[in-house]
Amino acid sequence: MAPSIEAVGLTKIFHDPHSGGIVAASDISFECYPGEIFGLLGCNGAGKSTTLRMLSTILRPTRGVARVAGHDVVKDSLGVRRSIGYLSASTGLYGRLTPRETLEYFGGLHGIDKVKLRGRIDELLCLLGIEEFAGVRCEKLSTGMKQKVSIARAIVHDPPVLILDEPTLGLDVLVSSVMIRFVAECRERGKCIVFSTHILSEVEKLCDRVAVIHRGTLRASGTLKELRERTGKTFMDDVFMSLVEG
Amino acid sequence: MTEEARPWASVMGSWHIFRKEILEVLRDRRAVFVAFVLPLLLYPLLYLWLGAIANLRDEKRPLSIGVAGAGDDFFVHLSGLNLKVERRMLSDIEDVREGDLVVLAHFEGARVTLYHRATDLWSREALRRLRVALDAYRDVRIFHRLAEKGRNVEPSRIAAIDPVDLSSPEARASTTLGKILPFLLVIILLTGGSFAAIDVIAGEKERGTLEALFVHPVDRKLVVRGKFFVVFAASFVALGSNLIGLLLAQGLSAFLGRPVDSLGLTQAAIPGPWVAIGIFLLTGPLALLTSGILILISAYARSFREAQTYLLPVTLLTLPLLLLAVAPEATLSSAVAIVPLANAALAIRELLEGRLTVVPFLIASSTSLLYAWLVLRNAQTLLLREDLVLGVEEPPGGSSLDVRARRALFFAGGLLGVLYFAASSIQSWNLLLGLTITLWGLVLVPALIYPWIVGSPFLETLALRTPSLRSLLLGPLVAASLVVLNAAYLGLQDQFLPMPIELENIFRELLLRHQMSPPLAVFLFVVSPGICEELLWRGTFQGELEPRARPIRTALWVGFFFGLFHFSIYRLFPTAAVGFVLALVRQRAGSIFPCMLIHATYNAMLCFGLEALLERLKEAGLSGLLTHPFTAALALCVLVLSIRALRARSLPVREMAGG
Repeated sequence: MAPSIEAVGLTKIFHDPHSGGIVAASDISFECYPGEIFGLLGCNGAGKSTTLRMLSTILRPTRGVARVAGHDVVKDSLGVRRSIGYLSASTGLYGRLTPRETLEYFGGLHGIDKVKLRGRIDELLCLLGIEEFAGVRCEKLSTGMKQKVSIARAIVHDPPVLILDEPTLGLDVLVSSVMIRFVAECRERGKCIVFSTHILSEVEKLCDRVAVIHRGTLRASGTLKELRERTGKTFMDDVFMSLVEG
Repeated sequence: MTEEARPWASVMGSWHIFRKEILEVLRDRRAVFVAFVLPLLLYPLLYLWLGAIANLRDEKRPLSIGVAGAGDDFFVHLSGLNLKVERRMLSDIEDVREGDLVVLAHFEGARVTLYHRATDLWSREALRRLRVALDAYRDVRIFHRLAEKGRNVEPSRIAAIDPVDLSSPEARASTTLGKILPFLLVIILLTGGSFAAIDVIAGEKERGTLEALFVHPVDRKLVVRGKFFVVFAASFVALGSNLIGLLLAQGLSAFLGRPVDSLGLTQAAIPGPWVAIGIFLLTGPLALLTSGILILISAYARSFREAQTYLLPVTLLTLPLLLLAVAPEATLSSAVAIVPLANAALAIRELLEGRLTVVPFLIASSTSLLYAWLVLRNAQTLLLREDLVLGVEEPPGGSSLDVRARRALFFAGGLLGVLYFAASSIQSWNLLLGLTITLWGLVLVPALIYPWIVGSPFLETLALRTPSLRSLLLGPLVAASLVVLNAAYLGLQDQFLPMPIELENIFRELLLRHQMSPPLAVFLFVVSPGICEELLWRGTFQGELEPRARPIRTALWVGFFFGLFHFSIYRLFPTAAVGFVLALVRQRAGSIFPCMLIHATYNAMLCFGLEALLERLKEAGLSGLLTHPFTAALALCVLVLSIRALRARSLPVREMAGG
């Protein structure tokens, strides 16, 4: 089976006029397959977001190559964007649009036929339980509702690949569980999901394979079982500390 | 990244973005009220308010005054002034205090004392009417005195001069409108579109929606275009609201039969169809340019607040250009026709005054379009910059200056205060010695001591690094371009802020008056500023600001203070521009030495070379060559290319420290 995401030697150096370059991600390589949840585990500022932003074409890699759903992130960025659904803690919603208008707008950017789009929007609103609020402006929605609208926004075009950058950051337990359930359901539908987090319990609950990133470099990757065997530790926090400090 | 789009898809893409943006703008009640509804109400309300003020000064209202000690002949002059006059005594002064009388005029020989209450509006009005009577009374008395002394003076010889204006009120109002309207147009276009511009890009960066948008298959150029047209529409609607408001006020004026304002603007005839079409054709490109400028600001800023902080200086920067258009002597020459904003403003003025010709009209509108296109392209390029798209992740300093940067600003401000008083005192005592002490003492010593006091690394702060050969070679080219641009700008400035002749020739005067030898002149005017001023402004000041603020912001601060440092309103803008360019040079070259070289060369050219060059050009019949707009355009190109060609030395790459 061909990987949905293939990153080889991805490196990002931010230019800084005062101190030279800052290496945010260095030589990151991994693969991710359909029907798999691949976790990127690391502390704040480890380079997870930078890696995911390179995969989603927001940032251009300084070195290395990456292909998403067969499209090169540099040479065919539009192709990549058609194939991904991207969601992060920092992405916002248009406060003065309603959820329905938001989905119509983003669906329109993907060139989805109007009739088909209407059906898709109704399906998503129902799936995520937000039909009741479909006509309310996003600025008036609760945090949980906003996150559900963000999820709908990311998958309105039914992409084969999902890139989720700390999607549960700042959410309460109830909303987090909705998000986790949603990610698990996506895997069941054969989507390829890259999921970054620094919450170890989410990794244990969701991820088929994990990569540990620290200070911009990939320290280890594999299944949880493989990482436990490699470090000789049982608990996930011990595994993580061992890989980061080692 | 590959972001190509076919033409039709491009139009549809921009339209899709435009529709969403306009919906969002229209749903913002505060923005809609301020930009569109308020102007509709403002002018009629202003009219009613001004009318109320005028009513307060109603000359038909009779006012009670007292007159003490005046001869009967004075009372003749009070007729027709609507004053209820009573003969009183000086002892009735209490009646003025208590309000029974508004004024008491006491005549005592040749002296008249007017007792009144300045806090009372009617007392002030009565005073004004009384002065009219007193002036007439005085003139008649002078005439009689001269007659008594045997001088046979004809009354007409001392009669007041009474100019009679034969132009119609409509024509007078149109001339006034021609001066005010272009100024208003630009300000309304800038302010009317500002909210939409800031919200649709800088606001989106802050809210994280731009990042969400850019992970969808949409060309960033289309995004900029869609948003640009929203700003253009908002500017135009704001303009329309303002004009409709003015027309409503005019209608109200006609209905009530009273001019709306002291300038009589509402008496101006509504422009005929051709003039209206002409105004529209000029305003369109102008609105495209102002919208482009607003979008550029918004694309550059990382947050809503940061965009707002840029908006004020940009609006202020447009003022000198607009003043050029309202100056009494200003005409739309081919040179002025390529000056952004001023060209359209002046063309509208000439159109309203009925003296605009076709060629300047075409140049003004086409250059505005060209500038709009260039600005828009620049905005599109900015949105390809990763650091600007991810607005929330700011570099050190970000949008707010930290304590050390603020301290550096206070240091510079305080030093300017000291220099203003101390340097002028020393130089008035002995100019040559004073100049030397100012530069090598008051300027250089604080520049060298400050980094040591605040504990900054000395060499790094002052950028005392070996320069590249390229930066040194490009230095004279930068200096020469600055000299040409300076000459061109001063030529334009002469139209609205002419430099006094004594300032123009100040250098020659100094040389002659002090019989200065060439080496001494070079030391004082070339070497000393090149070293001392550079170490202060591009050295210490810039070095303290730079790690804590964004590069362009630092350069703007450095330029602003360098402009102030020259303590002359006439030289403020050109010296600030030179300071800004030198700050860019330090940033690009990574060393202060090219700045020193450019500064010294620039001063040498201005002091020793420019006058001789102008003489030569005059002899060759090319006196206007240096200040010709095409020479200036060429110099600007050379300057931009030279600065672009400067390259910072390669800096080390370091690991991201937890970030």
